Amino acid sequence: MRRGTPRNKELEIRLRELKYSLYLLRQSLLTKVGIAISATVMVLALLAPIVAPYSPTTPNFAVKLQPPTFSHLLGTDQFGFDIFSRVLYAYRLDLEIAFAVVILGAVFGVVLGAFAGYVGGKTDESLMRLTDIFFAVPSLILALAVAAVLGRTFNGLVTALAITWWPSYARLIRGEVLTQKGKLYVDAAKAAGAGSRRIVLRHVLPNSIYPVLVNATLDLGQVILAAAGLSFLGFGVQPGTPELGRMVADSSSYVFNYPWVIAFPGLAILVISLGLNLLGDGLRDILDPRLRR
Amino acid sequence: MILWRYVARRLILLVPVLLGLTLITFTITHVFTDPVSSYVSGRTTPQLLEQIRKAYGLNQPLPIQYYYYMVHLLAGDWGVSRSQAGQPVLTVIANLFPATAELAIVSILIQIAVGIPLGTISAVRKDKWVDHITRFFALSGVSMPVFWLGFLMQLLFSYQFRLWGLPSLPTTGRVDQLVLQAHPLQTITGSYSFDSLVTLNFPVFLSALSSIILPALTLAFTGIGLVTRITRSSMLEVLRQDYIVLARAKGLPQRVVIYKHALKNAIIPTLTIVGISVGYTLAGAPLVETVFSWPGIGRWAALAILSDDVAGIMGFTILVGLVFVMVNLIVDVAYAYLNPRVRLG
Repeated sequence: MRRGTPRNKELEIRLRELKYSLYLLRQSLLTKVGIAISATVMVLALLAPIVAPYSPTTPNFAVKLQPPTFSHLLGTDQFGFDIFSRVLYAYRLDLEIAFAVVILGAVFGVVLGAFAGYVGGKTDESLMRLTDIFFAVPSLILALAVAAVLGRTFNGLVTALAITWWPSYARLIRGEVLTQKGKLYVDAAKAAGAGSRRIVLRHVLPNSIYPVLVNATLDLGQVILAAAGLSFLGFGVQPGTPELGRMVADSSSYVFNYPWVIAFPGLAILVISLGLNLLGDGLRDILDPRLRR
Repeated sequence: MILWRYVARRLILLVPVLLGLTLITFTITHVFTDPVSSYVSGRTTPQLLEQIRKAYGLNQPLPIQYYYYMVHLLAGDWGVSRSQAGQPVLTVIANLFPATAELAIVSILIQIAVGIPLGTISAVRKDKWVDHITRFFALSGVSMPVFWLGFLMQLLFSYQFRLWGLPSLPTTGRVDQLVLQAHPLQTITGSYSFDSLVTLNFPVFLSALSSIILPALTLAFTGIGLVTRITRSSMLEVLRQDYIVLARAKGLPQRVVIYKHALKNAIIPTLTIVGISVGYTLAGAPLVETVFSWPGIGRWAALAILSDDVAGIMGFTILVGLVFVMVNLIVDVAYAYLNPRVRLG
């Protein structure tokens, strides 16, 4: 009984927190729009093989460069590919890249940052100087430099982006760990005999995870933009692959006479990136207690 | 006095960052890949490879290789750029950088000229429809694939305008070559629009100006969003303060309160975002310069990618890092000057 009571209390507090967050969410129109956009795109991407009316890889020259109609919702490109179907498959690929990069970057950054923040001293100092270097060059440029030697492949692109996308997580979590480290509950845990590993994993990290979540959401949008940009320049996927940046590049010479061939793939990038940014912005306002009204 | 000490300290702090940057490019070129690979063709014999290795000190331990690498960099030997017919990287940079600098500067000016008024209006009319539209527009700035925006700009302002009989803007290059031939330009800074204005060469000036509008506007889009957002939030902060209430209470017109009293203080945080925005502008350069065939270092980097010109890409990376770090240093110093509270920090 004595052990059960505080657990219930804790649960009750968590539930109240959750209810309040959901209330704030209902108040914010832009966040709801962000959720709607992101969810729709992700579901469509996931269901691409079922939803897409045409194959993304079998050209049909009989219907090339047709404007949007009911049978081809977003028109067709210079090979007679149905642009709507290709956009769905491209969403799949681009989201795959974005999730892979953000998860790799976040896990690596969080582990490194938490370790450095908790250990402190020289380890901490050298990690921070290392992140300084990464912030001295815009991420896209650094990713470009790394991708240049990893080869123009899908894995090369993901690795290059992940290598450049971890430092913000390391800094973020390090700052959080430093803040949490000085708090009373950490002293209490220490007094109760908890080891450093247990304190970091069970107490400090769960308390600093929200900013990471917000950062990751915003980063998903940024990584999609970066991946599309790099593919546009010729990195990552082969020409002809359904990838949004690649589609814009492949069809760019048709822009004046058949504007839809690049208008829709590009719009698709804008839509998912905007949706994730709206969601991330909203999450930050809702999850950050300091910004709550 | 104290400001000078601050500048000196910041300059010293740059050294490890720049060393670190070269360490990254060194790691990319010497650890991730074998630097000899760029010399290999079908007819290269193993013996020849060994000779190359020896000649360039590539058989030495990595720290020694890094030492040689730095000696070469500092001596101005940044390698040769394969995508530019084997010219030295520094020569290529000297030739192409003015075009990018011109584009970036015009783009930053547009960001400031559009972003600050937009942010101010948005703050003053908080939660009105102007504010909602502006905020949405600003957020779409950081979500915009600029290479796509560039094509749309060309489609509207060049192709459609011509169809509609309106004056259309050029989509490629820095200047109309025929105009340039008819009115030779004396080179001062390498910026066509600036040089032609100073030497009163108006035909070239007009041509250069009309050529730069579309790429600069495209490149500015993300930055406009950033500047607008930061100006809005710092303006909101300032408008709540007592001295603004006082200015209003003593009956000053709204315009004077906003533009003379409030904006002066609200603009200081905007300055720091301009430093970050320079980063976005440089990162957008390869994309936008490719779309508009702008002969700058961004397009060079994009071409270098396609021809596996590693020396070119590394030269580009180091240059961008240098510029970005220096701009942020200048921004920080200006910030310390305008806001004496941070000077000692």
